Amino acid sequence: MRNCKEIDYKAEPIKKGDLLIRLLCSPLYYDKTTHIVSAEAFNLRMMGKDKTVKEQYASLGHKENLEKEGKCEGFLQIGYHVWDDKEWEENEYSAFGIFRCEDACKVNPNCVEIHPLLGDNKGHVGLFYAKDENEYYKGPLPTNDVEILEMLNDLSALIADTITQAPERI
Amino acid sequence: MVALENLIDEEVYDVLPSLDDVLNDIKETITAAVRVLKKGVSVLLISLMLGSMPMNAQASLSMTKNQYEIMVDNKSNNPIIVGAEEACPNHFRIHKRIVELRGLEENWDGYGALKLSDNALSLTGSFADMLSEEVLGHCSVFPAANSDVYLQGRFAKGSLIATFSGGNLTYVLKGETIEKYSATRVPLYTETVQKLNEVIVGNLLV
Repeated sequence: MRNCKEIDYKAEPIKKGDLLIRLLCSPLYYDKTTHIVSAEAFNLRMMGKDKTVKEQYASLGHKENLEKEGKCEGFLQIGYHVWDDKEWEENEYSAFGIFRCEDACKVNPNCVEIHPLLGDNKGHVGLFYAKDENEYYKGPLPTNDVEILEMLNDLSALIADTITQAPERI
Repeated sequence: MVALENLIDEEVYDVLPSLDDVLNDIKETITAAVRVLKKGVSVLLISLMLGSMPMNAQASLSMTKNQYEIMVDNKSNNPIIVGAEEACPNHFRIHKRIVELRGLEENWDGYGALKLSDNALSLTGSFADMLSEEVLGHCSVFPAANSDVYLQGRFAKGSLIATFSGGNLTYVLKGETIEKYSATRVPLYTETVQKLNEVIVGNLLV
């Protein structure tokens, strides 16, 4: 049985039909000529100065939060307007893509799981990758595994036609 | 040095990995020399052959069809590509992108991403050169945080993803009407890429 201290098991599960968004932190993740999103957009990262913090989920949010904040002029520039989290004020991004929870899970039903996260921000959602019966992957994913590579490609394709770029980055 | 003519077949296979290392050393030496030249010359001409150093002889042969040059402006460090833009705009676009990615510094994603591997970028260029112009028109090149490089293609009826890590590639080609083609950590062979190109052109573009 997989267990993760990041997941809020007591919260209401994310519904199949929920519209979710994935922020792209770098303009290098989207090619506006071909409308292809980089597979790296859904990869897990190694973070921190010494690269010891291994990301365990791809960070997502509910689209309804985006619409709620849509009247703010800067909603496309700053992550906290999307996540409604003041601590993320500096967390800029270049674009975002939209997808249905169910569609992402269908990409690889044995691996992709989407769960609510623990913490104060109840709009924050995590996309986890099941490794085996006991654990989830931590970043970075082994992209020399063709199943993983195909899954990342399919996830990026899922949002390719929905990309909205931040105005100042266009 | 090893005298190859004195080796029996099995011994030749033992020596091959070390020859691979020698080739990599030569490539790194040339790359370092180019960097030194960039500092002293206002505009440096770098041939496509240097921009996409072939990883094997087969790759080298295929590259002669796209002769154009990449110039680097020493002041701005921006790539200026001269030659076949009109004839093969998509090869041009992909190589321009590779030159740009070669200039990415560490932490390019703001989360501590590594600088991209020269080997991976070179292999990506060689791979792209073996794809036809019409296929490459649906492809993009992306950096990975672990220093690898992706080449992704999105076609009317399928998709291609290849990731280049050091001297090897892993790829998946799939589509509505074809069986899946995939391989893990394989060297770049002209025959493989030509086969992928043939399948894409014949089945996935329209």
